[in-house]
Amino acid sequence: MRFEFVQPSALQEAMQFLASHQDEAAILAGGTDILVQVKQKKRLPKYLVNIKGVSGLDGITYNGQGLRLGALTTIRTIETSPIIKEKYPVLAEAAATIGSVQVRNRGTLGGNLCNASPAADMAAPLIALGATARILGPQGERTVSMEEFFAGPGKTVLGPGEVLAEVAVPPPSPRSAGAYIKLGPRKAMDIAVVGVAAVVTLESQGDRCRDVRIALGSVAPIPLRAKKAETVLRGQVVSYDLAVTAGHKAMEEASPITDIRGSAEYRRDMVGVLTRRAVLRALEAART
Amino acid sequence: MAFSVVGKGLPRIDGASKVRGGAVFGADVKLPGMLIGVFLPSPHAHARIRHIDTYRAEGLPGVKGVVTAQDAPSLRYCTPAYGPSLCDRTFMARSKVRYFGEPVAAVAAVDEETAREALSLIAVEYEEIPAAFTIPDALLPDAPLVHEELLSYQGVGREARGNIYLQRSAARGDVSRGFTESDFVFEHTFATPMVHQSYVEPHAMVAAVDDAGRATVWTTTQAPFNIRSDLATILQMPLSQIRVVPLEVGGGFGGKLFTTLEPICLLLARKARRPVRMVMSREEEFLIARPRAAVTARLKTGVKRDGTLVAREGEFYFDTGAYQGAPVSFGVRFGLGPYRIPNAKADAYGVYTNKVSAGYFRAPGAPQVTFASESQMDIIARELGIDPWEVRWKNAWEEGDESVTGERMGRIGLKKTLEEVRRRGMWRADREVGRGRGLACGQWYTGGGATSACVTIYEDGTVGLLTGAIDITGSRTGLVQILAEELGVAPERIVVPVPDTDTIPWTGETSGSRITYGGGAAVLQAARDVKGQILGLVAEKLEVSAEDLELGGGRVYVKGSREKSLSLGEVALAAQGTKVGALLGWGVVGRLSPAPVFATQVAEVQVDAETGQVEVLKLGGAQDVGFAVNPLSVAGQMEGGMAQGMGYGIMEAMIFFRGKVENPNFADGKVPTAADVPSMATAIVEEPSDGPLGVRGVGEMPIVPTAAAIANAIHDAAGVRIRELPVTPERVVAAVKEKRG
Ligand SMILES: Cc1cc2nc3c(=O)[nH]c(=O)nc-3n(C[C@H](O)[C@H](O)[C@H](O)COP(=O)(O)OP(=O)(O)OC[C@H]3O[C@@H](n4cnc5c(N)ncnc54)[C@H](O)[C@@H]3O)c2cc1C
Repeated sequence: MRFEFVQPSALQEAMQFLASHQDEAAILAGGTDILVQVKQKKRLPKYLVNIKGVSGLDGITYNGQGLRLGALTTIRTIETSPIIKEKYPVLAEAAATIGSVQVRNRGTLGGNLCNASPAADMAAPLIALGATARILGPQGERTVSMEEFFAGPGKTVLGPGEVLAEVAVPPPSPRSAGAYIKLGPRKAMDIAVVGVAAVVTLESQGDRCRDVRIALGSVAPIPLRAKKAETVLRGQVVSYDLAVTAGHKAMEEASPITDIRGSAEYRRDMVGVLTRRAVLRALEAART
Repeated sequence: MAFSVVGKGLPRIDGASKVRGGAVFGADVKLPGMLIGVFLPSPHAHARIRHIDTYRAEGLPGVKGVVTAQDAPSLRYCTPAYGPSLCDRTFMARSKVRYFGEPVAAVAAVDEETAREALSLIAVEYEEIPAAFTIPDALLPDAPLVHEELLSYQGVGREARGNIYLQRSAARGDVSRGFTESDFVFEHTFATPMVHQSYVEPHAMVAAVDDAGRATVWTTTQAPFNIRSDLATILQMPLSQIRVVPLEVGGGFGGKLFTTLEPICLLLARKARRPVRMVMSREEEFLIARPRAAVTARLKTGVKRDGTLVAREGEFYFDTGAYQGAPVSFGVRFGLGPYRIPNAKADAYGVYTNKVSAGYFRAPGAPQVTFASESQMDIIARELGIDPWEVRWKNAWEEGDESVTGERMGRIGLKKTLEEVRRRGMWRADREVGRGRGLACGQWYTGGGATSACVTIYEDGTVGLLTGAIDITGSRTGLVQILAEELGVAPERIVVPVPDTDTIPWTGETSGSRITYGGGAAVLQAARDVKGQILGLVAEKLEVSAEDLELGGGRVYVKGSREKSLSLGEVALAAQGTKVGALLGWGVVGRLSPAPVFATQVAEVQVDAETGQVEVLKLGGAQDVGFAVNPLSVAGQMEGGMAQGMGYGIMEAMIFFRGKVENPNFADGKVPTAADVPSMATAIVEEPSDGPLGVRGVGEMPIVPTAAAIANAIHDAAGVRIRELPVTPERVVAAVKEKRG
């Protein structure tokens, strides 16, 4: 394993370097994904471009327009941020399920998303929250919704020289809440066998569900939004049975594979169970 | 007898240096000019080696040596200490590879990167041949043979046939009559997977050869003398030309009993004429180290309506992988459970498959067969509507009972452990919805291998203890306590360097929970020896009779008169000027009779019937330890054993696909994290053995019943019986679905 360590001091410089060394360079943020891949020889970049020194990719801001999370925000920061815990507890909940404290201290949000694992624990809740990715590149800036950010296992829509700069989450609607449920054999240090996020928004009065967004992890080539399951619930007063039906729809939308972490059959079954549970839990939280 | 040092929970004397990073492990040894060695693993589970071309690798700059099996005499070996002495093993693949990962060649180079690059330049021509991956595959009449020439191997038994290399059997009474006389007969099959010991420190070693050709091997091992004899056999060197230096062991659990890469490392050092270090990567650990054998067990049990056992028959198939080493005889010894069974029969078979070669893992064989036997005891209790505790109580061994192998029980503590789990409220009837409790008993023994020890007194009163007994559990703290007690010195006054095969007489490997037992006996003997010398000398000096003297506080006193005394340092100094010269006590004990050990454990779980997830809420265990020299260490061993047993119960397994380990890492080779380990309660039972201070082995016992207790608790909670380990969420869900129809 041998690579050159590049340390740009400005974002512009980083992007230029990346653009001119397209297939040979990779971004290094926390390194908890990429360094493992390099050691296992799954990726052999000639240059690792450390972006931790460039300004403008860090920090959390919250105002009337919602939440902005710099790509370099660590998972641990998301887990422990008071404003996130107050306004978007589902994000803190999801962050807390990642690896260990050590991993969360190093790992970044940008890394989690750009690594584009179908199991990335931050992806499903961000899709369910309707988040968008702000991308900077040699051609300027563009914005992509989180659910369109992933292109396949290990693939995103980022083009040559493009960098994920920040993730924006719209302000939480009144009477809305989310839930993220991750299944794995252990209480820590596990990659999700299945992960389901749901965000439910109720009408200003009553029990009718004004909007709902559901996203599934580890059961498709990308973190997947379960639109059919949402349709079952949107505009309805959600009963237990309706949540079960939504779970069944989500099972149809998932396309899991069998691997050593779980069989396709088990994963599909769990999509049903976890979707129902996540919806009901979010619903319960939205009511209060 | 009132003790002042033994029986106290002293912190481990090696603790601080390990926590601070000062302790020296295998990978810490660095010698001038040292090279890095790596091996080429076989990419096939079963293939003939047509040709190996190392020419290009040898030519790579930085490469200092390349070896293959051709660099050593062509022979098959075995390690006699680990019985059966069937010599089927080669230190490297010679004419064919029998498992995925088997070392085929090795390289020493100036750094690891160069060495690994050289491996990629070695061209091996293989011819793949059909393989047998599982026990059923291997037992088919026309199964591919893992060892075609088995019948010509040295030490092969008459029972060897096909892929079965070993059979062990025992019987008493008449099982078929017993089944006829039973009110009910139960028959089930159980299965357990191969599991790696998952110690933190991988195998690590350094080999160097001096000008005269004498070799030194520094290595992480539980068995330095066995490594020395294996090296002598494999490389056909005189024993006197080999020194093995054992280092601190960063976890062994039986996995470090065996010679692994040492012969390769030494050959490389010889060829390169420079010291060579080899450290296994985690993946290599899973590929070539020696995990716990997979077992398939069939148990047939006949009982009376009231739960009395009438007959039990067990068949245990041990999947040993490519070479012998599975603990087959323990299947017979422990497979039927610690119960009075008038008609009993046990047969255990060792079966070759094209997988990594199995070895020993904490109480080898017992967790596997106990999962089967204790799961079935639970099934029986529930079918008969009897409390699972009562069924055990009714049948549990007492003094005078005899096992299927003819072992007659002396004073044993099995029933006391049963009493204890009830008395402490670990086993009780009440429970919450979705939760369940499971109980299991288990047995193990205390091994009695030989140990040497030597005690000397420095002229400042320091006591030096040398013993060949390798410490993998904190045993040296207990030995120090025994010595401190006997000599009346503070434990801090004792130093315990780790000697090597040149500096201490032969000592058996650290296995069978035997160190405080056999090692304790040797230390006690050495202590008494030196004590006799001390008393003799002081009696002469103070002109009193030796009987009037006593030791305490690092001094020797005249009983009743505290003024007349000498410090141990003064005695040692005085000895220098007499014909005694130096105070030196020796203790050598040979094979001791094995002391039986028993435990009862209770698991409390919560089961999510929809996702199949099992949360182990509590584990409680009562164990007969004979005498707790260090109750803190005992509790530590019990907790560690239960935690490891829990991993075995619900998550650990080496997953194979066509002979290849699919999860050779800690991301997918699951072991419990600290967060997964539940609250644990430990109850110490002390029914003295015939050993020193009445001790019995402690370290292995606690892993034995845990998986069964958890599986029984899962049944209690969710009504499903999983007869294959680990009890994964997926298996629970499948069973729940099947039950609902
Ligand atoms: C022991 C362990 C346990 C783990 N457990 C979990 C878990 O439970 N759940 C989970 O989801 N993940 C887990 N991970 C994976 C990993 O820790 C997370 O995905 C983490 O968030 C990655 O962030 P990073 O900053 O370390 O990424 P890096 O490794 O630095 O980068 C990952 C990828 O993203 C690219 N990249 C990084 N930042 C940007 C950017 N701003 N713009 C464009 N591309 C970028 C890199 O080039 C690389 O391809 C675990 C990893 C380890 C080692």
